[in-house]
Amino acid sequence: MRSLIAFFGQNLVYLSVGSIFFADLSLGWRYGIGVAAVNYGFFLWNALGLRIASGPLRGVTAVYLLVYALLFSLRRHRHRIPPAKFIDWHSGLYLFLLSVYGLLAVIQAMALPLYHLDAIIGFGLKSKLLIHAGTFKFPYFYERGIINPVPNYPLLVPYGQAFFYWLVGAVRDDNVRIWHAVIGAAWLSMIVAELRRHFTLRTSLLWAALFFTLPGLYRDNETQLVSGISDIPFAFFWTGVFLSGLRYWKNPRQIRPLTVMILFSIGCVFTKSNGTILTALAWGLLYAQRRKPEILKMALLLGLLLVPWFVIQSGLPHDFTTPRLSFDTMAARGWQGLVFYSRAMIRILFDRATWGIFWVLMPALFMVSMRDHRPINNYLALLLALQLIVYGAIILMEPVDLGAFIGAQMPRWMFHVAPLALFLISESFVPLISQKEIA
Amino acid sequence: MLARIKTVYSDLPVAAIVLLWMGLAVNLYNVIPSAAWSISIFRRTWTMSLQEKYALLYPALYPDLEKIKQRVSEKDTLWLVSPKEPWHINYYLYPRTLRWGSPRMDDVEAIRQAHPSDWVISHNTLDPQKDRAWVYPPLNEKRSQP
Repeated sequence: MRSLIAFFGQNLVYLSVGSIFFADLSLGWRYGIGVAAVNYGFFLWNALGLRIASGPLRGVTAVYLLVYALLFSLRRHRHRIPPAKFIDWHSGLYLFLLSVYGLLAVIQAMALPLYHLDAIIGFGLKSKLLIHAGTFKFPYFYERGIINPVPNYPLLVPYGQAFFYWLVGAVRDDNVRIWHAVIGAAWLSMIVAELRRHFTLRTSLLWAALFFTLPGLYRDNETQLVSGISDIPFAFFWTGVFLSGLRYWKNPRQIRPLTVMILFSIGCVFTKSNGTILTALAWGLLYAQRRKPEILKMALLLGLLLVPWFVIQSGLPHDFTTPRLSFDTMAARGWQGLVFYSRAMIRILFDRATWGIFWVLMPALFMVSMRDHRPINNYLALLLALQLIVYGAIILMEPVDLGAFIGAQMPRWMFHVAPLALFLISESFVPLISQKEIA
Repeated sequence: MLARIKTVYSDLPVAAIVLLWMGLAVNLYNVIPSAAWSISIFRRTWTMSLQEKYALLYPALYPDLEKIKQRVSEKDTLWLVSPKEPWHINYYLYPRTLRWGSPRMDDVEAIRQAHPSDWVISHNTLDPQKDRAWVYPPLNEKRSQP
């Protein structure tokens, strides 16, 4: 019962925080903004030297939700995208499929506690440290020799899980995985809402269903939606970053997408190490293609907001067993390393048990769109290419067993890449619709 | 049939719709093993306590850890001797402080000598079925195994 109250409390806080200033966005966007803002807020609170305790946090949460409910009852929310007037049976079928998969994710979350190795050592342990100590500022994070793998790793997932534990008042890692299922639902909501800007509900749901039924999201390994590691939350935030970037790219007169992009960038950087470089690429590419001073101003603001994290992260020790990336390693591997990497990637991308035929479909769909000589979206295409190059470089620069490392990392990292590929391809069909609308 | 698809999905070419349906069908087929496995696990575990679920995950290791938790107080420090990372047992032993000792199982006595007032724990493998842990008390106490 306590877990159930904590579950609703946590998710209502996220959603309501996102709704305060972004009431017109769809649920997934608002939820993501809330997750980034609240968990980064916890970090800043700790960074100031203050601790978080279970009792006071529960009280603050209850009061906040009460006040918000009172204010919310006096407000009317606007929705930019009008809801469909009726659901036809095609849409109904896709919704049914997505609901069945959602149920499967919940069953997986409820069946076992956190148990995938990275979920335990990378995030579960840090969540426990946070709830017991109330802060990251204690020896477990700072003292070399105490076993806490990668102490300087971004903390959004540990804070998110610890928030649930703080509200429950105990470590309940058999319930916390449901939070990851909610992130998956928010991700779905965001993707459908974005597709709805150009497609009908049934077509949007079909695109989304193709993505959210990917078998890898439900396998018993770390690609699983509810495994508890940071890759799915990261993919969610990264989707928010490039989609808000895309909105601005399409309409540079509107500043608002850049504001949303800042918040999702914070989520991205604070969830996974890859986030820093990818976020920098998304902002840099946007500036390179649009050349608006607003982009630089907003990027500067983002940098300022992230200064506390970067300063503290640089003071935390790197894992004492994990080797560091080096260009020498990549140079030593040379051409052979690249060939080995390419072969391993082909095996991963054509693994039907994880991807079905997703990576065959994407080029096939692209060719279908090319028949009508539609232009490709430069922003998304370049971003996808850069992301693939960066990921390849990281893999080749890591001085560890290459085969094992690719096998462990790339299946889940490709879930960061897949939404970008999905939107690149779906966007390639957009001009046809615009022409039809004009006609 | 194609004309019908074209009417219903006016915003995408028919070929694209057919490809998307193919992808969806392949996804549905390939998720069946995971779904069957998850449902069977859920049917076994939904009435279990958290401790029983841990014991199911680590049939050999978890009873060892429970015994270690009973013997070693939460304020104590343990030095880990383990050849295999990652050291996930820390997750179950927290808030006891687990410090890195050595990757060589033969080093247990040397680590005990080096830290005579602390506990030493050795952990052999990551295989969930064979995973075991042994604890060695501070040198002024008698050696024992869980």
